[in-house]
Order: sequence, then C-alpha cells, then structure tokens
Amino acid sequence: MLTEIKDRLKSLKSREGQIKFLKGIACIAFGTVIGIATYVVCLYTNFAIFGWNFGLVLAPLFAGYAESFAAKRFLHESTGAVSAFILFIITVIYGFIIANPTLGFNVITAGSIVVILQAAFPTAVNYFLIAMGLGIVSHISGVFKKVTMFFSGIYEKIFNKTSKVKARYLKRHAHTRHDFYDMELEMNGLGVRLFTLEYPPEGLSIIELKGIYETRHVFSSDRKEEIQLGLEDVLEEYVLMDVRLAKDKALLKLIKKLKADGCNGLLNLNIIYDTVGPKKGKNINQVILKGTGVVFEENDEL
Amino acid sequence: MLLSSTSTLDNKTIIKYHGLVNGESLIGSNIYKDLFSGVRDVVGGRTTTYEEELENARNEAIEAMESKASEYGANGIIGLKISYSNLGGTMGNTILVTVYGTAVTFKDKI
Repeated sequence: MLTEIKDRLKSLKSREGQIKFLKGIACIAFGTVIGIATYVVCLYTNFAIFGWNFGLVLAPLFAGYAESFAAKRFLHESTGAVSAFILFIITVIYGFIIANPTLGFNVITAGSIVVILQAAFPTAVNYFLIAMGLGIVSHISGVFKKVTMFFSGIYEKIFNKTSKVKARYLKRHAHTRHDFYDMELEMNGLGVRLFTLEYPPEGLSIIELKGIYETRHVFSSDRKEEIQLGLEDVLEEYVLMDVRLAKDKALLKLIKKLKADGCNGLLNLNIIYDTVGPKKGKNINQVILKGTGVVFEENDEL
Repeated sequence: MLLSSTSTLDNKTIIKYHGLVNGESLIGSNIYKDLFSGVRDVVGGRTTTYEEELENARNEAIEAMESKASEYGANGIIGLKISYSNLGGTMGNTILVTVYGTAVTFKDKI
C-alpha cells in the first residue's frame, strides 16, 4: 500500500504522470457531476416510495458507472469509483441532515443506510451481508453445528476416540456437584412408607392423621456451555440429573419432617414440577412434594 | 406390568406394597419443531411431531419406572400419576415428563 502511494507520488513528477493524474481527477469529477445530476432529477421528480427517495441509491450507482466508463475510455484503467463514495457522503448529508434535520432512527432509515452503503461499497457490503445472513441462518437453525457434530460423531465411531472438545469438557467436569449424589439411595427404606394412594393400603390401618405435609426444592439448570460446545446429549443427561437430585432432596426433607412428627407413612403423595421464573437467561424451577402424613398400624402381615 | 391410576385393584389381592416408584424423561423442543408445528397448524394439520415426541418421552419415563418396580419384584403399579411440566430452558422449551405410583405385588382372586 505504502509502496503504491510512493510510486504514484513519484509518477507525479513526470509530465506524463501529471496528465494521467488530472485525467483521473476529471473522471472522478465527471462521475460526481452525473451522480449529483441523478440525485437532483430524483429529488425534483420525487422518485420515491414511502418517502424514501431512489436517488439515494441511483446517484452513487450512476456516479460510479459514469466514472468507470470515462476512466476506461481515457485512462484504460479503473479509478476505483471514488465518485460513488463522494455521492454517498453528499446524499447522506443532504438527505439525512440538511433536508430532514429531525429524522429519527427507525427501520426505514436503518434500511436506507444499509442500501446506500451497499451502493457506495458494493463488494464489501455484499460480503458483509452474506456473512451476516449465513450467521443468522446458522445461529437459528444450528445447521453448521449439526454438520460438524455429525462429522465429529463419525470420526469418534471410526477411530473410537472422544472429540477434543468433549474430552476437555468431561475432564473439566469430572468432579461436579453430582459426585456425591447417591443414585442408589433407597427412598422406600428410610422408615416412612410412601404411597400415591388416596386410601390406606390393605392390611394397614390409620391410627392417626397428622395433616398435610409439603416440602420443596428450588433448582436451576444453566447449561449454556453444553449448548455452545454442541454437547446436547450431555446437556439432557445433566438436566435430568438436576431434576432427580432436586426431587430426592425434597423427598428427603419430607421424610425427615414426617419422622420428626412421628409419622410412619404418607398417603396421596403428589410430585409437582414448576417454573418459578427466569433469572438472567436461565430458569429457576421448583419441585414440590406434598401428601398426608399418617401413623399406620399393621393389621396383618403384608 | 399392570398400570392403574386407581388406589385398588378389583378381583385382585395385593399381597405386598413396595412403595414409591418413579421415572422421568425430557424433551428439548427446538425451533424446527416450533416452526414446523406452526406451519402445519395454519394448513389445518395436526401437530403430530409434538404428539409423537411427548408419547415417546412418556413411554421412556414409564419404562424407567417399570424397571424400578421390577427390581422390587412388583408386578403392578397403582395410584399412577403422569405429569408434564415446562422447565423453560436456554434454547427453548424443555418439557419434563414424570410418572410415579405405588409398586405392588398382586395375585388374582380365586
């Protein structure tokens, strides 16, 4: 870039270079005049839709075309459509500042700015729009992530290897809070007989009704990391573990309460899961366990 | 495995109550299904995708519960309750299907 500028400045010292430079300036000026003329015609004829004048796009386009045409004809090379950029500045200053000083920022003006930028810098803006479009599609549908996960899965199967992302994740979470969770804990063997039935089971008589017992456990599952890494299978497993852990904690609280009150059974047990509310992008949930605490007496051997 | 939402079983004698058994499963619904269901609703179709997913999740939860009951040596589950809860979720809706009941061993009345 610097070398190019140096060469250009050097060429200005020669007569031929000066003529070429002036011709270039003339081409840019020609394009600018054509662009301004186009803008004036569009404004004069009110060539607009919903108040948005087509001159904002046509003026830079015509300016760039006219300049390129003249440059090709007289210089046999491009001057870079500088007039399109000049017209972009002129139309923005006139259209958005001088003619409409109170113009607010809304969808129409935002769209206009994009279209004008597209006319002034077509290649750059088109690349940007394509990248943005693909990014939006990818984010909503997760198609690229799914494709990469598909190939990652094939790789894992063929070479019997865990992907580096998954391996790193598993190593990082090797000692999570679920480590102490005893999946084999026997809830029915803790001294309180738990029933979902409304009536006492055969062979048991209620000798005392202790009333309604209710316990809850509030929990949340913030698993953005798994989603970002594309480890949805791990995510489901962890959320389910969170749910089971919460239910078991609430159940242990309930059993503890019942035993403290001298109950040895619970009738009509209900387990309710509910969403308490969102907090900074993650949901807070609760599990509620309720039933009627009783003191049973066995009639005969069950 | 006999499943019943009632508290008793007619014409059967319950010989043992094993206690609480339960099962859970999740459905992580996503934008594809939401969009697809919406389109099918507009054209008058049924949102079978959701229905199938919920059915699968329900069956999965029941299987987990039955497996636990089998460990106790039960051949029936009474007082069965099934619930569907929306847990929210970072990417959309996470629906939790829970089933629970009282595992029993019964025999036919002679």
